[in-house]
Amino acid sequence: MSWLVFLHVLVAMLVVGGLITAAVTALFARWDIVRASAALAIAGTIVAIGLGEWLASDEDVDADWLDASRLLTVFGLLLGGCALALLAGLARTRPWAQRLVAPTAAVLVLIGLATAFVMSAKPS
Amino acid sequence: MTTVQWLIGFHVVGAFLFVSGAVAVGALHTLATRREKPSEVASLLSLTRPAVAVVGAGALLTLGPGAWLVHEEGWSWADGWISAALVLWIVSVVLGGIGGRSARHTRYLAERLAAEGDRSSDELHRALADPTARALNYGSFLAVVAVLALMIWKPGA
Repeated sequence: MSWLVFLHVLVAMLVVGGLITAAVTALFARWDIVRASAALAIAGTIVAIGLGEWLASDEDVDADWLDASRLLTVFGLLLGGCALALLAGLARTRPWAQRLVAPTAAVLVLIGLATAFVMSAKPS
Repeated sequence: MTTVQWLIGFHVVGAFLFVSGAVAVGALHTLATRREKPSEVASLLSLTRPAVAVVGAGALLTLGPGAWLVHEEGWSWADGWISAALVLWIVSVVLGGIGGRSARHTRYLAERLAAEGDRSSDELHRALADPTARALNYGSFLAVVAVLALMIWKPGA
């Protein structure tokens, strides 16, 4: 069980690391790196969701904090990550997209941290 | 929410900033080692600075709420998993700091070469492939992953 928690947390940390990389490189208009980081973050989010659901079913957890973290992960990190990858692709040719990439990546980092807070503090 | 829940939440957010920031620094450093032009190497290495600031903020945020949690939960600093985590935290920060100094010198060298015609040199290749700096950075990351393992398993608690 602890192995699952360890892997779940480690993969989640890699996801946030990818998003930090995207946010930093977006500030310096390195769109290729932003796009690759966003793609890795999306892949990592899918793995983290899978590990998290495995854990939840193993431990038979059903709580509001878990539903909240599911919403943050799916609608924030997963869909937001797809939006970030799309914007980074468009940013090569479209100036309006360039302005949106860094703020989007920064918001996704904050969503990642908020998810970590909810999942660890487990507010009832 | 109880005080302990708030403390755990901020402690974990700090851990995320610490480890995720280190991941970002490592990714940017790795990308820099694969570039040929000194201007690109310098650009990527300079991008690590905001990520290093995130690592520093995370390192401090893990320590403050972590120390408070030891008090709130009635644990002891002498508990094996807590003292081992603290030692590994220090090891990670020190190794990362020394490794970071090496990366800074490499960035200065890349910036100088970029200003002198943007042609790479053996010195820059050696600096980018420096096994000591690489070992320090990997060591720092492994130490912080070991801290994470101690926090999850809490051996002896």
